[in-house]
Amino acid sequence: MKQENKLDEILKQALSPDEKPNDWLNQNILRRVKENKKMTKRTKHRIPAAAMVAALTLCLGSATVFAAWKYLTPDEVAEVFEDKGLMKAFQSEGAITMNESQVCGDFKITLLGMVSGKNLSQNVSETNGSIEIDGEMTLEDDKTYIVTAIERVNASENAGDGNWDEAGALDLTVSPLVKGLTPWEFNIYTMEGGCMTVVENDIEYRITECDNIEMFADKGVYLSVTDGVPSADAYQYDEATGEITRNESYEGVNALFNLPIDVSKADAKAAEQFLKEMEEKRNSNDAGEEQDMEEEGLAAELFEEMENWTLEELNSRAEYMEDLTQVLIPDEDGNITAKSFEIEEEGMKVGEVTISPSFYFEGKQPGESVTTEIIGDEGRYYIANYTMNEDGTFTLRIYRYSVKES
Amino acid sequence: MNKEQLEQCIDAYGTDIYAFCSRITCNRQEADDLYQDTFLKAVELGEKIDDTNNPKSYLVSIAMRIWKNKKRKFAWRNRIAESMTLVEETIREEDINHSEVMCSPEEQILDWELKAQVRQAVEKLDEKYRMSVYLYYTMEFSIEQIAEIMKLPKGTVKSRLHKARKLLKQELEVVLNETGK
Repeated sequence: MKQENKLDEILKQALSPDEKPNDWLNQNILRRVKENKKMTKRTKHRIPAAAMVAALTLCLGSATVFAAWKYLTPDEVAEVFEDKGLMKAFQSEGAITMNESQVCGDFKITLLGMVSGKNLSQNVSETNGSIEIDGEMTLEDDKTYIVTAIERVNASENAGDGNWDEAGALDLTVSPLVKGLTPWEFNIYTMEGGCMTVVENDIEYRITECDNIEMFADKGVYLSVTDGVPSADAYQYDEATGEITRNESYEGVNALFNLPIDVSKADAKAAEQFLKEMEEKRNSNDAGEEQDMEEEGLAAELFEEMENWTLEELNSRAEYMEDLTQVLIPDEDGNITAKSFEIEEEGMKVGEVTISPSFYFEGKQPGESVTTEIIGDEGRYYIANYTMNEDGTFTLRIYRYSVKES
Repeated sequence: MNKEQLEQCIDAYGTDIYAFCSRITCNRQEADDLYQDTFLKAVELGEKIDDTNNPKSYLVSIAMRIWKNKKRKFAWRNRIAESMTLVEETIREEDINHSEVMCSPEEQILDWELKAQVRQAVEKLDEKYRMSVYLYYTMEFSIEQIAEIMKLPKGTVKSRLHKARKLLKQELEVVLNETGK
C-alpha cells in the first residue's frame, strides 16, 4: 500500500498553511481590542443572580406592542445582504409586511415581514436553484423568508456591532412553529432552516429561511424567538388542541407571534407529504448515526485497548515482526529517528519517523515501553512500540495484530 | 494580555491560526471573522498566553469553539453555496501567488488542480473526521495534542484519522494513481 504514504504526502502539501492574514486584519484586531476595552470590563463584571432573574422576568407575556417605524423595511434588509431577488420579493404583492413587537427579557423582538415562493433569493437563482450541502447537490426551491429585528431593551451600554454579538442576540433562535405539531420536534431545524444576520444601529436584523410554511396555513402558524431550540420549558403544547403558548414562568426569551398567512395558501396534500418525508429522514438519520457511533465506538475501543497493551501483552496477543526491529540511539536533541521500512505483505512503506522520547516516556523507567502508532485496515493492524533500554537506547518493535486471530 | 503581548501572539501564531480558520470555514470572509474573533476571545478570556501553555493549541481550541457555536446557529444555506464557489477561487488565487516559480504553466495548473481536489475531498468529510485531518495535517499537531484539544481519547483521534484517510483514499483514488505515474 504505497498509496498510504503518497496520500499522507499529498494531504500535507494540499493542506499546509499557505494563507496569511493580511496586515489590515491584524490591525483591526488591535483596534477592536482597544475599542472594546469597555466591553471587556463589563463582561467580566458579573450581574448578581437576583438582578438577572428580575431582568428576565420582565418578559411581558402576551403583551404585544406596536412599534413605531424606526426599522429597516424587509426589502431594505434584503438589500443590505445584496440579495436583489429577495428584495424584489419583499416589494411584491405576495409579501406580508408586519410591525409587531414583543419585549422578552432584555430583548425587544419585532416581526417585520415575510414572503414565500420559489427561488426568490438571488443567490439561489444564480446557482440555478441547485446548491451543495454536505457534499450533495440539493434543490433549493420553495422557501419562506421571515425578517425580524432584535434589539436590546437597554441598548445604551451596548453600542458597537462586536459588542452586540457578545451580548448574545445571535444565540436566539427564530423558528416557525405549526399548530398541532410539537415545537421541539417540528421547528426550524427540521425545516431546512437557515438564517443571516446583520447589525445596523444596534439592531440585529435577521432573515430566517425555511421550507415554505404556507402549506400549513389552515392549521395555524406561529413564529417563535427563543434561546436555543424551542423547548418544552419555553413553550407549552396542548396535545388535545395542538395549541402552542408561551410558558409564562420561563426565565428566558420565549416570544411567540401568530403569522398571518392567507388560509387559501394551505396545501394539505403537500403538508402531509412533507411530514412523511421529514419522518423518514429522521428515522434514517437516527439509524445511520447509531451505526456510525457503534462502528466508531468499536474502533476507538480497540485502538485504546491495543495502545495500552504492555510489551508482554503484545508478545502474547500479537505477532512480533522481528525483522523490522530497530535499536535507536538518541541524537543530540534527545530525539530518536526510526528508519523507513516496508511491510511487504501489505505493500506498505512506512516513512522515517522522529519522536521525542522525553514526551512519550515522561515518568517511565528503563524497561518500559509505549505504543506510538497503530496503522492498518479493519481487521489487521500494525503496532509500533518503543522500549526504553537500560543503556539509553530505544528499541522499536513492530507487531501485527489480526482481530480474527484473537 | 496587553497590546504588546497580543502583537507578539499574532506575530508568532497568526499565520497558523489563520490557515486553520480558512480550512474549517472554507470561506475567506468567514475565515477573517473567525480569526479576529479568536484573538478577541483570547484577549477577553484574559488567560496569560506564553510558551509554557502551548498557545497554538489554546488558540485553536478557541477557534473551534467559536466555529462550532456559530455553526450550531444553523447556516444560511445560500452562503454555504456561495462559499463553495469562493473556496475554489481562493485556492486558485492563493496557490498562484505561492506556487513554485520553477514549475511550467502546465505543471502549475496540475498542482493547483490537485490541491483543489484534495481540499474539496477533505471538505466533504464529516465534521469529526475533517477537524482531525486539519489539526493533523494543517496544524501539524500530534495525536496527543489533538486528543487534548478535542477532549477525546487518543484512540478515538487515531480512529478518526484512520477512517478519514481511508475515505480520502477512496475519494482520491484516481488522483493518487495519476500522481504515481
